[in-house]
Amino acid sequence: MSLEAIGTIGNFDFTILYDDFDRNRFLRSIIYTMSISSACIVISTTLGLWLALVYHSGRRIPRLLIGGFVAIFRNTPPLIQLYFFFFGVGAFFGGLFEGSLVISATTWAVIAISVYITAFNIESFRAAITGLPSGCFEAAHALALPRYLILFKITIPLTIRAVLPSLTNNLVELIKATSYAYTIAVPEILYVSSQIWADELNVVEMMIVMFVTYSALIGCLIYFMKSLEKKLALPGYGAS
Amino acid sequence: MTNITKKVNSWTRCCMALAIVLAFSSGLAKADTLSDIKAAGTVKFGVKADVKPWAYVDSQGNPIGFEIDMAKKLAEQMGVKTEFITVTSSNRIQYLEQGKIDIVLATMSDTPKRRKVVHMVEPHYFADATNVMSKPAAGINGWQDIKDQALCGVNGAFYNKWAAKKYGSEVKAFKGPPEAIAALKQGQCVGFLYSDQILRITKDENSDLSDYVISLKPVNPDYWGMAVRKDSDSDTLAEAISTGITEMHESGQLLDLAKPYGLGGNPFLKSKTTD
Repeated sequence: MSLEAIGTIGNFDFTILYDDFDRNRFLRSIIYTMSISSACIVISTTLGLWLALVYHSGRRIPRLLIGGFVAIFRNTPPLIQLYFFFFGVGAFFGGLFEGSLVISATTWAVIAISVYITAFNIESFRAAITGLPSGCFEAAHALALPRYLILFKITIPLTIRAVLPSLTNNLVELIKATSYAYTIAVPEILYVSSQIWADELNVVEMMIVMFVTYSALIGCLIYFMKSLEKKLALPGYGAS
Repeated sequence: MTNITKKVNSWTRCCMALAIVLAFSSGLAKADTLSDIKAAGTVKFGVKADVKPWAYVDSQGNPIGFEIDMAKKLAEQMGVKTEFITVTSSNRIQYLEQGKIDIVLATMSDTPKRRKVVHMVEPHYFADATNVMSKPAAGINGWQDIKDQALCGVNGAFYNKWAAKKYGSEVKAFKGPPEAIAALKQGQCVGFLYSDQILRITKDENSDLSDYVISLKPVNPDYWGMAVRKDSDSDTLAEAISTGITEMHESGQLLDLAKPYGLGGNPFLKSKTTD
């Protein structure tokens, strides 16, 4: 059976199976979504951990600033944040230097989504840090360990173990949030699918394909996070 | 006890009979779309909300424009009121198929692909072509100049794929013309690919677009048509609209409706009047 025959089974019209142009742009869009997601995951996790540690150190002004950052980017809808960055801040930059400083839509998408999920990550990491057993730190002080050693050998490893379930939630939300970038014409999965269905008028088919694709991508992330949890699990710690 | 049992039994039988009658009557009561519209007293048009002067909104949020006026005249002929539902290029056909609207009247070009899915009503009510608006500094003077360039466009326009395939341009399709123009001004693309006449009118209306030019020869002449669902129920509705448009063309009423919106010079409309 040719691909065209499979693609047009019944009343369906899966043009991505038999049309080269559609198939290529759809596959490219999957790579695009994966790249944007990877960049955002790295940025938001690193920033989340670092800012949560700064917050935990208790100094007043950093606490205020970080608290303000979390409030702004957690309390506003991500799509509005994206519009603000692209159409608002972007218009300001476009007007500077005779339009030679143009920040691409993809860059804005990475910035907006990273910042949005960083706000959630800061709270997740903060919860993990405050939940760490104080016995470890008392023992560390008793051994007169320097602060940097406590940070890198005790706090961070234990925090990473504790944060994984909550972090998984946030990263799943991150991958889903990349679909907001379709509004600023970033060629990720939803944008390219909407182009294909506008050209080929096969809405239902592309919806099915998108659901399957996003489920598969997020399934991979969850598999990775779960295996990380298993690998880092402390023997005898937590419910058996 | 037996009296109550008798009552319950006769009540159950009554319900079953009612259910059967209703099931059959819903089949018998199926009438065509035009009769449904006349019975309901309103016809639902799917219209755009951001394409001045064909269909946009006034300061109170009411729909106005050339297409809106045309819809009102058609509804008058059918003897019903109008209900306007906002659609975009990328969802107008889906709304029609789902029954959210009865007629698509949303700057839609007649293409063979669309004809497979909807019933295009002839005669067409407008005609336009494709063009690109850009800054002179971008150097877009011929269609070859858009080769491999980034263009801003509107999602759902049929010439987006044409430009991508023929010239290798990357068309960044946004929700509507305002978003595309905002991106163009920022420098995200070298030009705005859209309908020729819409581009000209948008440029005239906006003083901050005064240093942009529409310098290409308009290609892809495209005829705009209204559409109804592709089932036999909508045939009488299509006929009614078709007759209505033909009359409006011949009497010159359609051209008169276009004039206050600056569209009186459109060659297609002028050619359709019989004088």
